[in-house]
Amino acid sequence: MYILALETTGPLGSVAIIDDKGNVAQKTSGQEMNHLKELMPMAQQLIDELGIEKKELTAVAASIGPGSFTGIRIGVSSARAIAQALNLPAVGVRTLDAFKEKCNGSSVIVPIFNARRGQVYGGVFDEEGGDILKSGPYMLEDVLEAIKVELADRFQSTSCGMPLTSKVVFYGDGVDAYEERLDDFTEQLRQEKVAVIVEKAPKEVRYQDGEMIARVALKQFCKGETLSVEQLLPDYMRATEAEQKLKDGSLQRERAAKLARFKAR
Amino acid sequence: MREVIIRNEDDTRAFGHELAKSLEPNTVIALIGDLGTGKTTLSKYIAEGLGVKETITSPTFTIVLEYHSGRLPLYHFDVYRIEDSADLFEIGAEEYFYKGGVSIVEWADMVAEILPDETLCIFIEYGEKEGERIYKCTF
Repeated sequence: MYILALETTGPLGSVAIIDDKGNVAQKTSGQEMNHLKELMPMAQQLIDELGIEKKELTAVAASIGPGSFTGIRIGVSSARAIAQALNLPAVGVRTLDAFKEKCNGSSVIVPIFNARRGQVYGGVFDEEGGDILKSGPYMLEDVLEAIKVELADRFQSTSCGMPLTSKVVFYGDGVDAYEERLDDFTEQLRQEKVAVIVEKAPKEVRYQDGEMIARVALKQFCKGETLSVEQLLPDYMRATEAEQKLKDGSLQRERAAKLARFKAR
Repeated sequence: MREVIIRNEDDTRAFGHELAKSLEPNTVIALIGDLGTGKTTLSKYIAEGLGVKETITSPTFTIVLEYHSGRLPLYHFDVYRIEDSADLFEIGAEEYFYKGGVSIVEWADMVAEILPDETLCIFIEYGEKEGERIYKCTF
């Protein structure tokens, strides 16, 4: 049994194939945002190198977002095309939640994807993969606040002696975009003598990749969480927020305020 | 805001060419003004200044057109027909803004909330004389 997984939501595109024992092979595109050109050839190469036949594929998985808009669309459409052509079931992997794969009992995992203007798609997951802050569209400050509150709670709940030191690791391209702010945040915690180690994941493992998506896809597949071609859909995450803003009128206010700021220059 | 009096198309050309010289990657230019104030004409001259070889046409129906023959890639938007910024978001406009080129957005007032803070805005108004325009610039 083999599952082909496509990851196109991050800076680099990658494809991976996982077997039922959890062995993974992966290919990553050399250039940023070059998903469209390289995705299908990479998938073919991987299949060839592993010496398997297309008909041996059991399912095709896509990283459905959030992340790069163009990337999400390319990944989901490609997965749908493959599923349709080879008559395979599809698996939709939620990209932020896929970082729960990194939860190994020792660190709080915080994936943040750059959504610009102080915004991120992010989540805060505890050492066991539980939600401290459910994955969603947030202001970066809200994510940092959620971390602070969690750390304060942990400090409160230690009844005596030294509190256990927690470790928080940030992942995703938001780490690059908001590097300064994260450094300030770390410094602030240090000055407040919060018992925590804050780390930025090293670049080699910082971003979402095909392997991660393949591992989650295998779990979902084994639980029977498969989709038909029509059911495999992107999850941009922010569109709904924009719609909400439109409904309650805050979008219009935001627009007017922005224009006023421009005019005041 | 800095006010520039544009008396005729030659002035528009000069303004567009001059602006194009100073443009850096990831610049967004917002053109805000009524129908017929010459947003597309100004876009054309900014493109020319960037060294774009292709003929610039209005992207009214395609929302965005890309040009790659100049000093920097140019992404020319006309958002007149879209409902709101959610639509623009759906076509990945923000990715255009930050992918290393210059983005010109006509009717940018309709999607102001999605524009980066450092956007260069040009409010175009009619002048007193026939053919005259006033460019109110935030830069």
